[in-house]
Amino acid sequence: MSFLLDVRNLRTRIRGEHATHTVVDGVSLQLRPGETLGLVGESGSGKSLTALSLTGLLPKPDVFVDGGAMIFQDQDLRALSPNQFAKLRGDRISMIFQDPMTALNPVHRIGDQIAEVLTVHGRARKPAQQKQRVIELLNSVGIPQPESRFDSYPHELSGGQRQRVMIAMALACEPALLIADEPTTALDVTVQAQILHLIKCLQREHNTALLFITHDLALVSQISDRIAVMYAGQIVETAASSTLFAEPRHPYTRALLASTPSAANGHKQRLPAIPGTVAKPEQYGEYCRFRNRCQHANEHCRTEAVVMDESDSAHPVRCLRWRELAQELAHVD
Amino acid sequence: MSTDTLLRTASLSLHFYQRYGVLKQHKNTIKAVDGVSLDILPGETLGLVGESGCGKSSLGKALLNLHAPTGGEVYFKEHCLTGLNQKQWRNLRPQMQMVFQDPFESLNPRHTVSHILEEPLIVHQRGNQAERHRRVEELLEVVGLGNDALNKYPHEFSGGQRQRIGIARAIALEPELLICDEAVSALDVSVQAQILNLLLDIQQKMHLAMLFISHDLSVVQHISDRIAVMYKGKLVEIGEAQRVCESPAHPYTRALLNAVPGFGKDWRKVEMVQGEISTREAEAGCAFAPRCPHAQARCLQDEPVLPETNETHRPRAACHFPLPHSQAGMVDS
Repeated sequence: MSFLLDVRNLRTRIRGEHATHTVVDGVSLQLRPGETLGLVGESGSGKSLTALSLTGLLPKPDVFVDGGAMIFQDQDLRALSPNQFAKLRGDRISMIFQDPMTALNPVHRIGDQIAEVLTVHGRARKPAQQKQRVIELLNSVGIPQPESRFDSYPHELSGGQRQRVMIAMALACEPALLIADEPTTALDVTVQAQILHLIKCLQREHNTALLFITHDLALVSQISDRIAVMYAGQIVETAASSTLFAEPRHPYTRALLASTPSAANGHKQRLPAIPGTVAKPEQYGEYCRFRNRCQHANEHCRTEAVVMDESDSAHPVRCLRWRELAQELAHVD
Repeated sequence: MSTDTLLRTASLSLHFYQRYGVLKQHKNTIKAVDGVSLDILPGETLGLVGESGCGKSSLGKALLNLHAPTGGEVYFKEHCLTGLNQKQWRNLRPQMQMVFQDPFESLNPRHTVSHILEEPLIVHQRGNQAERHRRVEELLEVVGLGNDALNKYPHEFSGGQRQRIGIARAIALEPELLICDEAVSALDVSVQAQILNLLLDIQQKMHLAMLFISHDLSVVQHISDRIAVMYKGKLVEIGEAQRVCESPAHPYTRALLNAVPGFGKDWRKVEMVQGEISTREAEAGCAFAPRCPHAQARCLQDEPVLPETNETHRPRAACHFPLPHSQAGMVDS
């Protein structure tokens, strides 16, 4: 078993004024080279903080990794100094963010910004060589007339093109792992489809592993090999993409799938909505964090601590009642 | 046009003028809404979709005179709304209300919920104080909030709850038309379904018509009786919701439908259109032609118009070469 990235029991905490809250609580995930893992969750589920923990970009000292192991290419990421992390980032691990306008520097030409990545990581040192490589990269992400676009500023590009530039920067050093945090959320659907296609094509070309973070279950189902669903700081279910949609085990996953508008829900019919709102970190505790919104919760859920049931290693789930529920559901069908 | 339409627009336009250059000597016209004619029937939901910058929000605002239209007419029941003075508008406003995308920015942070909900009743002189208070409590109940919300401030609520308050305010005066501008777009999936249910309930109870503006086709399809699609300020297709989604006539509508993420869709099989909405002033011909996979010479020269009537049951589309029937959109997977 050789994992490119092996995260075990990652714990990330936020120091607040009155107390310290655990916002990423025992997250474990594994990625093989070339594989795509979708990390899905609502806002506040801890999915973005997981990504920032992996890239050493947490706003320290108030947000910090407090436990667990993050092994990337047999190297413990937690043991790295900030300098060592900076060397790794952009080289072997890259990240794309939601908003390319804030992620790009508005006063630098895009060509120079991509070239900077090459300089920092000691690739293509000669200026002419570097420019050649940048134009190649712009071309590979589908920017028309890359030679003239080299001198453009970010504001001269459309949202989709800015995201393409971000992708060119992220892939400049051909990283082994690409972390994409809601890279298409700010884009229109037609452009979103283009960007997804681009990311997937480049991923296949370079055999890059992809950790794709999003709130959109349908979107992630299209591009992932496996999907991990996060709720309130924890992964509640992980499964192969097709399995997750065919046989979701966690009531939260099931409820999410059911509450998405689709033909199955009937036109203009009430949707099976999930009541209530996402639990806040101060309410977490050791019991199931979904229990107050779960239609299947019983007294066990309120009195017994719940842990990840990994008896089926291909489809672990964090629910006390999932076996019973699966049987009940089979009966209904 | 039949007399029973609730709202009707005739060639409605909203143009913005932009001056630029050192001496502001150059003038640029942005046609946010350009000659849109549509009607809304009492009690129906018209979904208005399109990508950012297509003018859908501008259209919503032009209907309520939040941006004064620069051309064309709006009729609300028997009234022509063009050229009304402020007092006349004030008398009409109770019948037409709006729900905004961001419930954070559209609720006054310094006012309590009871203040926010009572204000429209005071402005339009409904009842005495006791009656108003009763009405406020009733409104809270309708939108699923308890009386304990009365003395709280907007920041004490979650996004979904704030949107409930925004909806309560909009229906306080029992409008006949509710314009929802991206009303669920800022919400998490699990909360989005709650708000959609609330809107469906309210519509049934109060028999109000809705203009539901959104970029999200799957949500629009769920909630709308009819769907109108906009591209670069113009209406390109309008028709019954199911028909538009199952057998769109305009290639742009089909492109939108294809790009909507769906469970079980494969990214390799998603058909894409190239390019993005250009912000440049349209030249001759169809605005979508430069991106359209079916564009022919004629499309680049004369601009297609939206037919006013239609004998068939198919959606009306502003296209020289409408797609043949049965080229399925959303149903394929």
